[in-house]
Amino acid sequence: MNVDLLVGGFVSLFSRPELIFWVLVGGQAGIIFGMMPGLTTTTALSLLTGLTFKLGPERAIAVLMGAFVGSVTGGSRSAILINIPGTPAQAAVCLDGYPLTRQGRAAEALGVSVTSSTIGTFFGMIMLGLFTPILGSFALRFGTWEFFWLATFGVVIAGGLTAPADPLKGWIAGFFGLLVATVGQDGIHAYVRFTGGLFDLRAGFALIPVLIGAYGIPEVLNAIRRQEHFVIEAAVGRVLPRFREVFQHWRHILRSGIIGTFIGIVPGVGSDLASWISYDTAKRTSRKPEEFGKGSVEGLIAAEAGDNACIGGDIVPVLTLAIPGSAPAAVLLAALTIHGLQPGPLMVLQHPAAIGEVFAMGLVATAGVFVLSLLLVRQMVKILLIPRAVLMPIVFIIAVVGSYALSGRLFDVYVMAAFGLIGLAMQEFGYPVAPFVLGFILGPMMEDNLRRGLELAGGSALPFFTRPISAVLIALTLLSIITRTPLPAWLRGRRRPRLAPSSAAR
Amino acid sequence: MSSAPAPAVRSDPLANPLARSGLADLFGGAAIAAAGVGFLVASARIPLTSPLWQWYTSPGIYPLATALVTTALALVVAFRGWRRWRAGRRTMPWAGLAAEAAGWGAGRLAWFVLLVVGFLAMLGRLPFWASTSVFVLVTVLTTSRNARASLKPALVGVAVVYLLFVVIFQVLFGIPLP
Repeated sequence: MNVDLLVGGFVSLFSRPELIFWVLVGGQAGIIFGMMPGLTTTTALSLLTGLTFKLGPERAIAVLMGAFVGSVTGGSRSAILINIPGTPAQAAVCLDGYPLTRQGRAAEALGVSVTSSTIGTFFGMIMLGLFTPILGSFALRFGTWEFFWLATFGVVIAGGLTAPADPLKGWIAGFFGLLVATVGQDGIHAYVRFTGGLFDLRAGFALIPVLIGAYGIPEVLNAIRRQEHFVIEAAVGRVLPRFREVFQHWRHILRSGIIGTFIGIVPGVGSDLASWISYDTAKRTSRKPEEFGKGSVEGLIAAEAGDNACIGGDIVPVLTLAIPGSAPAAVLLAALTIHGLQPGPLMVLQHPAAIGEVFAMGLVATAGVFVLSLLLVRQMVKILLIPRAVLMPIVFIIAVVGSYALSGRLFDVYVMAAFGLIGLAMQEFGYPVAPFVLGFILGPMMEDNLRRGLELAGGSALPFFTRPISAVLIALTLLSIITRTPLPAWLRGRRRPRLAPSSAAR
Repeated sequence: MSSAPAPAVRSDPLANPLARSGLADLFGGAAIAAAGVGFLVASARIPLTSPLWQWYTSPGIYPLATALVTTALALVVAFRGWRRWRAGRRTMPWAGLAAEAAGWGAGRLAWFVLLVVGFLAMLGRLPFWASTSVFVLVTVLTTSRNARASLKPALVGVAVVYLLFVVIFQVLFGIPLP
């Protein structure tokens, strides 16, 4: 770990206390977004990227880091109190959080949730500080060929993991994202493609309107069509931190922290998967697995620590490889790029201080969100009772302003609305949105590196296959495809009939 | 022959859901395949060679390959969906689809989309505070379960929109509004 770099981040942050204020503003906004069912972390970050554009790079990143931590932590409120996860990452929290509320232990559940979230986030941030310089140094060995395969691997693995029941749809979504990203001028010759003569499309679809549309608008549309109405069944008492109770289960914390961090690093896969895997692992290793799903504190701790540790893991590949670890991290990547900090291998060389600052902001956000979560819990819970029919039009207007604010074009607002409908259609037809967005983000990187690689080799595709890191990435890509096809099951099926006669003979 | 068993699809309790998911896959796959074909045709029109580029650096080569893969995969999904739909189509209660769509909220969704189109049309023509106030008021009053009871929340919503967007975002933070 480059300690100087990380200490430098803290010195830089604390020398400008206003940045801490913006981290807290973002943290509070994130808690509010996170706790409202349907408004995901990605939606929060997408909207805030547009709204903070005028604040300048450092303040904007401070708000976004705060919002990232706040929204993941805030999502547990609705999961525990009304059995509806605020963000998809908290689906596993519902399993034990809501039964605790039904038992009249809502305040205890919230206390355990906030404490384990904080410890999980802290663990993830430490991993961020540890891994970013290491992975960043390793990424300097990547050439154009490796980046092509890295982008391919990201799209393929995100497609497979976000559509486990039908990975084909996940891959289609990813490739469709790659395809949509080709609209507008290409990155090498500035040749205008697929614009249909629309002048506004010459620069392609802007990322933020596409992100806001694809992630935020389907949730607004779903809330309107469902006419949702929430009721909190239990009174919420005083919420206190529960460090002693949580540290009794340190093994779950440690295990979930490691799971969360590494799932976060995998491109395109977010905290929802980390939460489920952490929960499942905790259940399998618990001495009281029968209590899981009925109000188990262990289950709640594992799910919370896992999904929050994912935040740090998500940011590692953003800073080092310019590959987002999840959908919210994709927005963070876009925000960093918009503000002139080009993430990727060169960031370690060109903007090392920024890595330290992001790390420091993450830790300050963790502490700030912890305090805000405990202090304002009763006031925040009231937000859940605002009628959805009132809230959703306001969220739609935030989406409009967020899309417009970046470049002041109404065209971006129309793009946002159109991608909102596309996102809803994708959801309804079973196509995951995350690989689509990842494909859209990685598309230019994939195309430019493919063409540049071919150019460097005089038209030969051989270097794409012969370089060692490329070969590893190809193997990983193929492995992630093969394990999602019926081939392994078919091979197992072929083996079984051979064994059957011999076992029958015995 | 009268005692011959009914066709398998009729006795299969999963025939309906399978046929429905099959139909959804058929439509979804066909829509993406159509988009893919559009990109395929447009990519094929980009010259392979020019004074600026070789065939392997042509701006059309990457979208062509991507469109090819997307279209092929989407056609697989569409074909798979068509097979499932064909197997269970006889037991699909077509008459119930309209009621199901209403239960899903298609009417409310269509109405909201219409309101959004109206709101987007007002942007840039009316002051932002006016267009947002009309949008929030009409949306809340027409999409709430109880329109009469929602008048007060709707007016509160309008006030929040004005405070949040005009006072905080525009005046304090300098965020441009459409």
